[in-house]
Amino acid sequence: MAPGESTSAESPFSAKQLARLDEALTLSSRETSVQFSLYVGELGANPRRQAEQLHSGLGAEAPDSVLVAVSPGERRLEIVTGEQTAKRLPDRACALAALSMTASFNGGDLVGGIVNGLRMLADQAGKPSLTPR
Amino acid sequence: MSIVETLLVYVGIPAAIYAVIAVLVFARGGAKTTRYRPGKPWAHEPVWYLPRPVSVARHAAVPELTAGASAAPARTARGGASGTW
Repeated sequence: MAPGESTSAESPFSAKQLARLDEALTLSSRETSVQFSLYVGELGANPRRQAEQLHSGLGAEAPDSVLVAVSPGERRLEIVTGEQTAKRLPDRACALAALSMTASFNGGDLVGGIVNGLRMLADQAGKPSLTPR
Repeated sequence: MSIVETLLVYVGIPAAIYAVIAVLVFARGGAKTTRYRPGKPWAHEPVWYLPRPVSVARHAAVPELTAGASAAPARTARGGASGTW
């Protein structure tokens, strides 16, 4: 966001929407032992690099993490997988989830798209015991 | 029915129903609904949500998130997907 442009510090989502996001994040993470995290905000001129930097900011959790970064202002979605999670979530699965999410976003349904996308990613990643690591 | 009764039943009751609906609609209309519309700018601070930790012990192990602009850590990304809409 350019300096001088006003941003509101309050949450962009209502309490009900936050509850849905929280449930989706928590359930998909517990089911799969993959730490899903969700970033909503500006991604800048190079969205992919910015999303990858955010992912590396997760530190020790990064290899087991999947970052879903959504920039509604730039209409841009990035899904970043880590070293371990890339084995369970191939790029093709991520692209399918991304397609489903952007379709919802295009209809103005930000939260619905995120929740469905997380569900698809979690379904694809499966249970941790079923996948050799 | 007298004229007054007729007016009350056929004009008064429908008018009352319209009034109730109008009140219900506009009473909440002032509430700030921050609904996302594609193409409109996004005037919110960036937010980052993490899943709820399973236990407090695990929570303690989660490192504090640092700002992206600080010393660039090693690249951890291995794959993923991008999308636009």
